[in-house]
Amino acid sequence: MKNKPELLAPAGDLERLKIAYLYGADACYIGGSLFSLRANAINFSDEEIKQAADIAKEMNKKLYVTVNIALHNEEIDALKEYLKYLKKVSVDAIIISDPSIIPIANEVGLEIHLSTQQSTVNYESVSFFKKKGVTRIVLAREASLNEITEIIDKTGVEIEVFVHGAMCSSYSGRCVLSNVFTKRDSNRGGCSQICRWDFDLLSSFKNDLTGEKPFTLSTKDLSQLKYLNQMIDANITSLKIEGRMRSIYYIATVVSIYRRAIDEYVSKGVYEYNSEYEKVLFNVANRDSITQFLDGNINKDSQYYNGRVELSNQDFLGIILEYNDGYAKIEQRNHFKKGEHVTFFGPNLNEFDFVIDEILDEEKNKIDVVRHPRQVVYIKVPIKLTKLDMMKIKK
Amino acid sequence: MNLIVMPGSKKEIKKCYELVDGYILSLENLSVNVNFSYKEKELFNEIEFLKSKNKKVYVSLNKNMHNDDIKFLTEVLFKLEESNIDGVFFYDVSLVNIKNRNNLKINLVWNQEHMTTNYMTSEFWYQNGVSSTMLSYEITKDEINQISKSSSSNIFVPIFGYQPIFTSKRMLLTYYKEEFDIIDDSKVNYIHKEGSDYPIIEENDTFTVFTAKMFNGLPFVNELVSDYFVFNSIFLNSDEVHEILIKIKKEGIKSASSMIDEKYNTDTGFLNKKTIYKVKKDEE
Repeated sequence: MKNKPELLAPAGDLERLKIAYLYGADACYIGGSLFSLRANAINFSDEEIKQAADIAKEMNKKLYVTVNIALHNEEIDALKEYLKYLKKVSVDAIIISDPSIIPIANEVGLEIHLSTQQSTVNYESVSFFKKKGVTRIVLAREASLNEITEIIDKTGVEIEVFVHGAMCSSYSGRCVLSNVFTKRDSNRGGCSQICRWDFDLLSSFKNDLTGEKPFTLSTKDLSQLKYLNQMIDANITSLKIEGRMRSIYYIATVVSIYRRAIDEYVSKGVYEYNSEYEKVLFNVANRDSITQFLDGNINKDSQYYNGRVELSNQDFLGIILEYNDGYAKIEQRNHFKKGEHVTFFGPNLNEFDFVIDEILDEEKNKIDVVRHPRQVVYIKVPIKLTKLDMMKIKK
Repeated sequence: MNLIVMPGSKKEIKKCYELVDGYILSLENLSVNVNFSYKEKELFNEIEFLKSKNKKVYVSLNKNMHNDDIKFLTEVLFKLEESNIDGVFFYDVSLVNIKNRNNLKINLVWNQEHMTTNYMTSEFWYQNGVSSTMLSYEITKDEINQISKSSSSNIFVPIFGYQPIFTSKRMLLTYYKEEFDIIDDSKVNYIHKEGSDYPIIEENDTFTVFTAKMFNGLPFVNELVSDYFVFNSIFLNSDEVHEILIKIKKEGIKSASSMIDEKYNTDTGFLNKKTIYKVKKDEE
C-alpha cells in the first residue's frame, strides 16, 4: 500500500469549509481577519476560526490558518495575542511567510508551515527552516518533480505542493504590480491581478511591437492530475488546491475529483490518468490548465494571450438542502428549467443524470423556470439525495 | 550620506567610482533584476579594482536558488569570503544556511525586496547571522525610520532609480515574441498601459518588470534614518549617471533632485504614500 498524501483544500468561509471536508479534503486552510493574504476573501472572524477548528475536530480533519502577509511595524504588537488565540482554539498549524513569526509561534506552541510566499525551491533553505522548528514547507510553484524529490530525500521535511488552481506568473512574493498600479498591496492581500491585464509591447525606441493579441503576463492554471501518481510516489506529504475565494461548487468538484484520483491510485497501485476527470476540472474553472514547472516544460504555450475574457461558470445549478418523500429541496445557484438535463453529484452519491420533469415553488405550486438567485424549490427526484449534494448541467 | 550604487553598466563604474562610496555588483547566473552581470573572473577583477580605490563592494546573489544552483553558489561564497568584500545581498535563505554551516566570515544583507517591511524580521535575520537589511521600496518614510531605530542591523534604503516590481522564472518576452513571430533585438523593451511605459528585461533566465517612473527619494534623504542609501542606475547611461552624481557632489541633494525631476519622469514611490491593506467591499 502506498503512502496516502493529505489532500488540502481552501476555504473562504464556514460553508466552504464544510463542503471541502465533506467532499473529501483531509485538511483545509483558512485566513483570519488579520494577517492573512486574500484580504478580498470573506475571511474568518476569531469566533468563526474557533467554529472551524471544532468542525475539523468533529470530522477528524485538520485545520491550518494562514498568517502570511508581509507584516508591517504596526501589526507586530497584535501578533502574539492572535497566535495565542489560535493555539487556544486548537488549530493544527499556522502557515507563515515572514520568518520572524517562527520564534513567537514556537513560544506559543503552534506548529509552523512555511508559505509558498517564501518561494522555497532548494534543500539548503528547507534545512534552515527545519532547524528553526518549521515542520512543513510549501514549496514554490516553480519546483520540478526532480527538485521536489531531491529536497525530500535530503531534508526529510514534510513537503506541501500545489496540485491545482491559479498560478502567480512571478515567483510568489516577488510581485508588487498591484501596489504600483492600484496601491493595493499584493503581499498583504490586495492583489488586483494586474498580471491578467493587457499591455502593448514596445521596442527600445518605443515602437509598437504588439502582435495579433495584446501582451500579457498571465499564465494558464495548474492541474497536476497527469502526474498525480508520481507526486504520490515522491512521498509529498500534502497536495494543495489553490483558491480561498472559489465557490462551493468549485471546491466540491475539484476536491472530489482529486479525492477519487488519489484513492484509486493508492488502493489499486496502478494509475490510469482519467481524461474525463480533467474535463470536469476544466469545466469548473473555464481556464486552461497545464502541469506548469513539474516536468520543467514551460514555454510560450504556458501563457494566456486571450485578452481579458474570463467566463463565469454557469454549470452549477443548485445545492440540496434536504430530501423527503421523493422531492429534493434545492437552493438555486444558476437559472434552470423544466426539461433541463442535469447531473447530481455528492460526497456519498454515485453521480447520475436526470431530466427535470417537475418543479414546485416553496408553496408547492408547479413552476417551469427557476430564475431567481438562491430561490428555494422542490424537484421530484427518484434517487435519494443528501444535504449538500449538488446539481449541475449535464455535459 | 553613504551612497552605494547598483551600476547600469561596467563603463559607469570606471567613470563614476570617485563620486560614490561603493557598488553592488552582479554575477552571471546568480543575480537577477539587473541589465548586466559579470562573469566570475571579471567580477573578482572588478572587486579588486574597487577595493584598491578604497570603495565598499557588495555582491548581489539575489535569485531564487534552485537545487542546481547550490554547488556554484557555495563555491562563490567561499571565494567571496577570501576577496574581502563588504557583503552579499541575498533573497534566498539558502545563503544563510550555507554561511552558518560553513562558518563563513562574510556579511550578509537580507534583501527580500518586497518582504523587508518590519523591524521584527530585520531583527530575526540579525539573530541568525545576517548583519544588514535592505528595506522594501513599498514602505513609508515613517516605517523606514521606525525599522532603522528599532533594529540591530545596518540598514540600506533604496533612494533612487527604476525599481523591480515583478520577477519571474518565465521568459515572458521571449514567449510572446515566439508566439507572434516578432523580430526585435531591443536590449530593453517596454509594456505600455494607460500612458505609462514599464521597462522589461530578460537576464540570467529571469524576466523582470520595472517601475515606469524613476523613483527619486533624494528629497527625503535628510529625513530618513539609514546607514546606506542605494542608488540604482539601471537604464541610465554612464553620462547620465555621472551628471547626477557630480550634481549631488558639487551642488548638493536639493539641486540634483530638482534637475532629476526636470529631466526624467519621476515620483517619490511610497515614502509618503501608504498602500491599501484591507480592500473594502465597495472598492472591490
